[in-house]
Amino acid sequence: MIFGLKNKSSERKHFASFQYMTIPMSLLLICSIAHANESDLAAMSIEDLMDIKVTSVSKKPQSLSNSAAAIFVITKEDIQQSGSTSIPEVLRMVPGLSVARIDANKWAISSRGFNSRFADKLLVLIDGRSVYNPLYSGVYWNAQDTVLEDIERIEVIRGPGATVWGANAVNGVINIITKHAADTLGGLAVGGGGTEEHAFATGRYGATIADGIYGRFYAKGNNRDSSDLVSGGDAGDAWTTYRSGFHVDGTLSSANSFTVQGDIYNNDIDQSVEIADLMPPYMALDDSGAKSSGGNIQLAWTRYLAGNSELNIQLYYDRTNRKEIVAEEETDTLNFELKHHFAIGFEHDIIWGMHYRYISDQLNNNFHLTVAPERSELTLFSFFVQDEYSIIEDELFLTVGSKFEHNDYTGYEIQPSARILWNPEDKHIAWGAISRAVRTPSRFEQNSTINLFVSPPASQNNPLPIPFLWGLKGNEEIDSQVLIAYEAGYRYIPNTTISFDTAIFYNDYNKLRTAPSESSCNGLYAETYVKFSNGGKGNTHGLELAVVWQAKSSLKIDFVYSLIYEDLPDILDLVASESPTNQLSLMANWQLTDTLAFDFWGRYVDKVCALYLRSTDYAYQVDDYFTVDLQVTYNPFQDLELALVGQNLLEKNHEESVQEFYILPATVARSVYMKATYRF
Amino acid sequence: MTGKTAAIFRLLVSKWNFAVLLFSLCTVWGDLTVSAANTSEYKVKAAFVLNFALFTEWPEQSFSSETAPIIVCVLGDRALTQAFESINGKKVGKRILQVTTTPPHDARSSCHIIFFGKNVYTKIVLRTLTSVRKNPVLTIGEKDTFIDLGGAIHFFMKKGRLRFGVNTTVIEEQNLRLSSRLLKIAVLTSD
Repeated sequence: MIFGLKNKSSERKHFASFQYMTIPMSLLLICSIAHANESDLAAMSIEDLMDIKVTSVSKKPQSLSNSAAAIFVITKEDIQQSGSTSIPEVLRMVPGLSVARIDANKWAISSRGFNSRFADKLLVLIDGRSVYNPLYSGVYWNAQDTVLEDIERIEVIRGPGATVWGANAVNGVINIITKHAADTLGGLAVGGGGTEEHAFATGRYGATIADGIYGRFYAKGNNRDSSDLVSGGDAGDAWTTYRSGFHVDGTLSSANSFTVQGDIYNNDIDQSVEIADLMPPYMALDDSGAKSSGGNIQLAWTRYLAGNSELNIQLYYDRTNRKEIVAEEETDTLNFELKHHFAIGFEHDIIWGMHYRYISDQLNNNFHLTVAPERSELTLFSFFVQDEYSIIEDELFLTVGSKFEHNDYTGYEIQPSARILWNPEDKHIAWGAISRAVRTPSRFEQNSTINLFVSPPASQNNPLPIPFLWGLKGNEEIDSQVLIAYEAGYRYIPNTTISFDTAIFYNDYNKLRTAPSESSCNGLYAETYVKFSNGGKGNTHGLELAVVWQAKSSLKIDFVYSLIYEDLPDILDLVASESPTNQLSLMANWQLTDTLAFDFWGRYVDKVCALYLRSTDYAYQVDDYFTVDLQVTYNPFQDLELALVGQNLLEKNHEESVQEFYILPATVARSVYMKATYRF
Repeated sequence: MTGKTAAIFRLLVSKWNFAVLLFSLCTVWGDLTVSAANTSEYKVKAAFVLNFALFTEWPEQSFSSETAPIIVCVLGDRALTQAFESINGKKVGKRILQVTTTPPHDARSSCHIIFFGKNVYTKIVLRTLTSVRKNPVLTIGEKDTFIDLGGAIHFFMKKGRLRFGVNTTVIEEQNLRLSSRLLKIAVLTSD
């Protein structure tokens, strides 16, 4: 009995070890067969080559950048596979970025910390046009859009990009680049709708205008449903957007190319805003909504000079209007940029440029927001130069440069950086950088009075017999916030199917914007203002990891992890919320057959302590969440694509962020939509 | 619901040791099964390009001597440029093929063949094509729009096999001659 058992198990063992041996051996065999075939290819006749069956590589290659910065590129395929319907939602896949939806039409997006609706340390460009609002140095994300199918790629640089990009590029730069018009020839029609994405439609047509000149024209509209309040009930934040634009690209001769493009848009945004009044009922909800509209026109011209030298000129005009109960503004921006890129010998790759920006704005003062003067004109002028010096050819590079900028508030600012990149062999890239960047004051921080709350007489928070007013006040003495950033990164590409990209950072901030209180009483009402100043010091540090794995030719997996610790002054002092400590994103794209694809997107976002001025201790806890999006795409024939998308499927709704004031806490709902895309 | 899913998720994260093992095993497996197939598309294309060189006639003045090499400039990502190493130094009559992967400073005078990978930005494709227009350079591309952009030879897939289209007008303009053996198996277009 015992003998028999023993015998059996040893037999099994033997069989097992044989099995372990055969797998690698057979794999080796397969590989060597493949290898033999490939080395014979060059000896084959062209007729024989035509008979070889090949596997097409249609997915994105592991083309990790050779730049000494923490860069992440969202490709057009990533955008399609995300199932997202807006630019902010697409950005959730980027390491180091924090994207939180406040309500149906508002987002808080920031890079490496300081997340809030009014996040102010991020530069966002669409085809080189800056879209952050100069009044508060933040971005109205609901006004930024284009045809998602026409986006070539979105480059996101975490960390200071101030040397080349300049103003506001303190913690990051988001660079949205649309396709060359030669890549959008023909028609595109997109239509669909669902539970949250009520209805949307896009039409685009591209054509060859003349030999070497291509153009496209588009129009699109979205109607989106309102969200639910955390306290229950409808948040009253549905919105409708329309936008239209054109893009012309041309190559005139071998030495010149140009781009002319423009857009116009109009947004109708519903919102419930909690506003203050010195008369009863003191605090009330206003449902008059927001209207935002605008347009831009841009001209870019590139001249290619001898010796791989390139001269680039860009000129744009942008107009933004925004009208809501708490603010009425009109902003005109005129921007001119010149860049010259050339090489000296084989060692030096130099880029220098000049930049001039003129901003004129007009505000209509009211009780909620007073800005003095109501109308202002600001100019910004800058010069930058950067040299990429190749110490060892193709292996060791040192990049040094600086931006010299002049603005009307703080005068001259210097923003230098030094970066080193080491590429010992194809598979490994290591880099490190030290840079200084500043965030110059915004108009609101300089000369505004924002009245936010009034406590009724003899109420819980106000024992006085008169109303108590609370608000924010600008400070003409405010200075720039200063960052010294230390960064390092490592990229590892073991083979063509997998790549790792990590970055660590330590950001040291000085003169951070803080808001100490100042009180006074005039007999009719008492008031407390927090007045912006530069009292803050602190640091943030963390790491980011991005893994791209082409597991099979039909299965691609993207994994992203972000970690950040914020050692900063209190959220109330900073007037900004915390960012989530841990964030994870896992995307999988599975091409089941030639006509059927399946996408999975899971995201985990840590809890955050947000600033919410209406809560008793000003802090508002947003729980961590884990959510999943799914997409099924079916191509019944080549030019038609049908997609069924489910977003935030795990829960009926969840919270992601809260706005500091004005807006009641709202949730993000589970949703489903259908989409048809037809190309002709 | 939130707490529960998050807890499960945290548990999964805590098992990272196992995940790393699984991941690295899969990586090895992925490497062995995928990269062989992936490289072959480009290696087959490289072999095609070797044949194109054999069946193309350049004007005499585009070479400095009778034995001067045929310069093949390859624009594209790593997988593509690596595959073209396999035809570097191959003999084409009295000449040899010399593959260069750095973007040419002046494509007009230095390249005889330019291969554009599918991920090369259209702006760069157009700029390079315009700069070599009416010069004896054989341009080969993978983009669907390559012929429309003014390219000479365009690769495409049909039933898992490689096919190529030739724009005869561009070939004539570039002052090149393709052998009839090549034209017989190509899909021909002209402006």
